[in-house]
Amino acid sequence: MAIILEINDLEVEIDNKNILNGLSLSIEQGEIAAIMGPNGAGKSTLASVLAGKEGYFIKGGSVKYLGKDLLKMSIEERATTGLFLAFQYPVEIPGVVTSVFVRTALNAQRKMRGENELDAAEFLKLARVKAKELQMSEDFFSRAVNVGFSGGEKKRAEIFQMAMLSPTLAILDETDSGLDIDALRIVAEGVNRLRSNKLSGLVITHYQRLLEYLIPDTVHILAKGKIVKTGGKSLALDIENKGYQGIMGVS
Amino acid sequence: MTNILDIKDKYIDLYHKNKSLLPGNNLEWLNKIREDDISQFKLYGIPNTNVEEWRSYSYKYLTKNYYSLSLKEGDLNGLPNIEERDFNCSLRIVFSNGKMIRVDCDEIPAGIKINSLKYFIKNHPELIKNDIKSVNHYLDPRLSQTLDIKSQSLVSLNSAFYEDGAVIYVDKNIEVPGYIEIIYLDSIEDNSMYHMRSIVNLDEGAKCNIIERTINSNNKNKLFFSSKVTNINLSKNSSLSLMRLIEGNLDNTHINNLYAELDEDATLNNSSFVFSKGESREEIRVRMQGQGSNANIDGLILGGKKSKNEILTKVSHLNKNSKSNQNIRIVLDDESRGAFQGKIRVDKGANKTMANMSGKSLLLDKLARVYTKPELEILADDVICSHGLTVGNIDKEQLFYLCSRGISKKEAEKILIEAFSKIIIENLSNLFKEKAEKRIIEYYEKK
Repeated sequence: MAIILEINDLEVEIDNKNILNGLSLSIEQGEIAAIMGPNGAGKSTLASVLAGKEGYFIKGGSVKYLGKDLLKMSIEERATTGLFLAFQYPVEIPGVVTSVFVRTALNAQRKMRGENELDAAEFLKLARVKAKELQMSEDFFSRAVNVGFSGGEKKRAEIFQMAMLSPTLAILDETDSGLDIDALRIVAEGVNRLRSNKLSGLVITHYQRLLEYLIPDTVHILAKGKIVKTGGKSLALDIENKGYQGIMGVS
Repeated sequence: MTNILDIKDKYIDLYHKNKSLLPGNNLEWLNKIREDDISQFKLYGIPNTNVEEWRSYSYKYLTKNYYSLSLKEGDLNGLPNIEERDFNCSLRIVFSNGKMIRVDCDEIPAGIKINSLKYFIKNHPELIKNDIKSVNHYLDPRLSQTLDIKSQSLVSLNSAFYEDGAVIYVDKNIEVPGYIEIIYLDSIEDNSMYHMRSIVNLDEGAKCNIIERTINSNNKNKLFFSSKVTNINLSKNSSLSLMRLIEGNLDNTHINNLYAELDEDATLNNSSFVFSKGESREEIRVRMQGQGSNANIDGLILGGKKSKNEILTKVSHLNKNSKSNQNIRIVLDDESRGAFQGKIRVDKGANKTMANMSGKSLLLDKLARVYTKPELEILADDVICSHGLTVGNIDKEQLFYLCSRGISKKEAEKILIEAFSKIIIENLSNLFKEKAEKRIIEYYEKK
């Protein structure tokens, strides 16, 4: 299988504080990898750095995405080549209509790939199907992006965007946080529906619960800015039973 | 460059030399207003930053230049192309050099009197007598009961020099179809000025939509100054929607003073769109005299390079149950300056007043500056009033979110700026929306 993402010895600093200390990780085509770890381990930093957020100082290491140097790509370039980040805290944007935003994004990506842009009717047809799969009511199309959405709606809207943009590599940053069990199942099923050998995923989570529905191929444990243990899906269960301390001896 | 006191004396001289040429110099009442006002101007001159309402920044062209009067008649040569009237434009009046040059319409709708001020002064002076006012009429006492004359000194200068303007009277219960468009073309000689006085008077139950537009006649920057004073009188149950689109070149100064008086249940919707590259100032003063009157005062300033644009509002609630809403949005790029001074005054006894003011500014460059000041003077007990002013930059989290979906940074910024000023467009009547949106797009294309 081809390697989609290859992180080598990544060191990242924020405000002179080391957050990632030589993190290495690779994801193959079609693989869903879970990253678990205690608070402050650097999970969200990893997600942000991969998506290209400003404010992080890359001290060392490399990240290859589809064979290219990811760290040299702009945020929008990463997105148009198929990298998608589902935000832990989706941003509210008053005054921007959700359907207009998603269509603009989809068309920007399609244009970049040399495909035809979708007109409003074509877009709506596709959006209706995807929204239905996620059990979302269509009136969110005309609402402002994430404004007044409940926690569950925001996370579902992220997965909706993911479904619309059909990425190559999806990074889910604690998509399970703030979700009740029903919403969690709907979100996980939404992701499962997108699973194929064309989609790879990096699922960042605190708890094993999400992984009951969204079964990973591999589980990595991140602590103090490094991957300290890698295993199969059973590793997630061990953590649930013994805690991070029990497994790693880490605090 | 001239001293501000010399400039004052020169304008007074100019008035005395020129007064025999002014329209209406045979009318005693009109002469008296001009004389009274020039003597006010003699006392206070051109306002500088020592005057409270002119503190935001200095209007360097006004305070350092003497402008001669543009004596040229408006002429049709060398005018920019104005697009054809659209389907909804029932009537169009065109001014050049501050003088009317053309009225375009198929037929003047019944129940409307519309022409140039010059025409009315010559043919029907009795009709406009009550709508031509001295600056004293427009002054409001401060809490200390003193009158702040200095801040409106340019209106007295306007009194001394205006020759023309648009005059619109709409009869009782007449609804003017579509909208009336007033176009101002600034094709005048270098270092000159013109002054205009306009009147809009709606009788009981009348309804009217007006678009006012200043258009740069050419791309050459010319030092010039225009002053437009508009007197609006809205009788019981009448409704006026006014959209003003203000353009200007680098060395232009546009000063607009709008005074509106609202009777019982009358409605004023005013939206100002300011795109000037030079200096501009919109002063909108509304007196809500009738019970149940309504005023919506909106404004959008888009500034760039070295532009300086200011909006000043004063909404006075003088009677019960009146409502006002103010929404001002300012987007500034480069080293531009912008200002919003908003005031709500609720007089004693004006109970059940509802007055809201929201002013938001977005600074796109670290060199851009905005000055905003809300003022509330509330002398009644039973009122609902609110004010909120904010100044900020483009939200980095929002920008990152949009870009992370594949939208380019430039496009994402555009989306966020549009979202920021969206309320001003949303509040427009459908008749105006498309025109305003088109102008905003043109502004960004030319930028």
